[in-house]
Amino acid sequence: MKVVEPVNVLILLVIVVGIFAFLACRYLLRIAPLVYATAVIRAKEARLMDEKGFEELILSPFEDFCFVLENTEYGKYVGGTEYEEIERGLLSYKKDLHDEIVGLIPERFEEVFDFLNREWDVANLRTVLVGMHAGMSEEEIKKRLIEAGYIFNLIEGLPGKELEEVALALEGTPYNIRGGIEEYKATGNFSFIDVALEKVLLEGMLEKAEGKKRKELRIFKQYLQVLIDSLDLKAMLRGKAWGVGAEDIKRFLMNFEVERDYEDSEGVKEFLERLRETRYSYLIEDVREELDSMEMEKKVDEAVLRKGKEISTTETFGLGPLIGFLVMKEAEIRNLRLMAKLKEEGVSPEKVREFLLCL
Amino acid sequence: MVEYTIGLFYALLGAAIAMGMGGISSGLGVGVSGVSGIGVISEDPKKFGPVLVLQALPQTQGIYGFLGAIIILIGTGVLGVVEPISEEVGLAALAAGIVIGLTSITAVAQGMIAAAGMHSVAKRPETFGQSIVLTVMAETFAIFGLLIAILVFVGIKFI
Repeated sequence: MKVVEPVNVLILLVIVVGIFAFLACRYLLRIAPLVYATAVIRAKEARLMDEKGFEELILSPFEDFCFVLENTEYGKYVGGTEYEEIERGLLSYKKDLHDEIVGLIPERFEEVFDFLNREWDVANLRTVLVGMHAGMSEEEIKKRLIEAGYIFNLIEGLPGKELEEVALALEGTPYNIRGGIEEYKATGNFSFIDVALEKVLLEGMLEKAEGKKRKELRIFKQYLQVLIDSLDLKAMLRGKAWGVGAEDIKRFLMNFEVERDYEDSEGVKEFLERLRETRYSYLIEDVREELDSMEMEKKVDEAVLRKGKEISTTETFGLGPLIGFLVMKEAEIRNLRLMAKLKEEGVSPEKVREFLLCL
Repeated sequence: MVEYTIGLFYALLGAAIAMGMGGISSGLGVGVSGVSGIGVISEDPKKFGPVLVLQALPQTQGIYGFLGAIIILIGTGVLGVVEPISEEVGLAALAAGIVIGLTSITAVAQGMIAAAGMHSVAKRPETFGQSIVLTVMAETFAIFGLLIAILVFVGIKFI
């Protein structure tokens, strides 16, 4: 029997161990930058408001809104007895949170997550245009702007201008929404501007994420697709409700795979039925035909929120927890703003609950 | 002084592999879990206790490597007995060192489980016990490795 030379065994061993070591190190190098960020995010998730906290807020009078939030993370941001002050506080908190998260993100993903800054440009633009739509004064609009984003200085100069000047000013920026402004001028319907703003933000995100082949971005691209589907679905439902033709609605959509269904269906009900056989079905599982458009959109938002929560638990180390947290926090802040507004207007707790997203 | 033989070389190599790989694997495991732990306590310093316990768990493979290296050095007579070490004994010691070294790689996985356990504890402190149990699961294979190394030496009658 030939005895194998120990040296050959050793060489084989070195190769086997080398392969193990290479695979282990490669995986560690991939996840190492995200381990710290994920840990911070998970610790922050522990401080998300639970049902009990929301119930307490819903049942308290408006005057106690800030008092109830005192022992939460929002405590040092919210104050005052008017909705505008509370809203400003919540948005300031959101801005600081975004800044913190941008600081946590590893360098190789910074470009992809720059939407956390661009969101503020879109939010400020929306504030200006809503203010103009509602006939607010220049000072009132400027008071509501949050100093964040890339083109804050430009946006700050827009209150007091005409719509045409606003459209012109935005033409050289990534936020060219001339189409939405034209439709708004023609119909008086602000939703066109809403959709146009959302679209430019998502187009920017898509542009940054496309072409990047990193494995960790797979989950980000998945979620981005959910947001795109949600935008397109809401735009199509609105379009169908107002009788907007396929040719006209197309420019507000990022994807129009269901053009034939849109054209051929008589109204929203029939369109919804057809959509249940398409890839949008996951967003309209809870949408019933008898709901009004606002309730339908709320159900779609809840479906998006569920997807975000799902994404949070898909990966232990990766962008999943980060995306999930951002989604849940966004929904929480939206609920708080809505609650404050409704309570200031004296809406009953039962009615307030109907408007809130189910977290 | 121990006479230099090829057996001595294999025995020392075995000890080096046991401790070396044990140290590297535990270092990586403790490193990954440590980074996670710092993330958790940066948000909630009160979680330091559970985080520390979880971070300590991947260290055990380094201890097994240390133990294994000492067993090899004593068992082969590098420490204590001054006798030439035969090639066969040296190869047995090398095999023992290799099995300890290879199974110590579980410390890397254990570190990742510990890090994930810290995330769970950060969100829900009541999952601390369960996190420890799950983290310790990866340890069993390193323990088997150490046992096999001990059995090798029992088999060749050095312990």
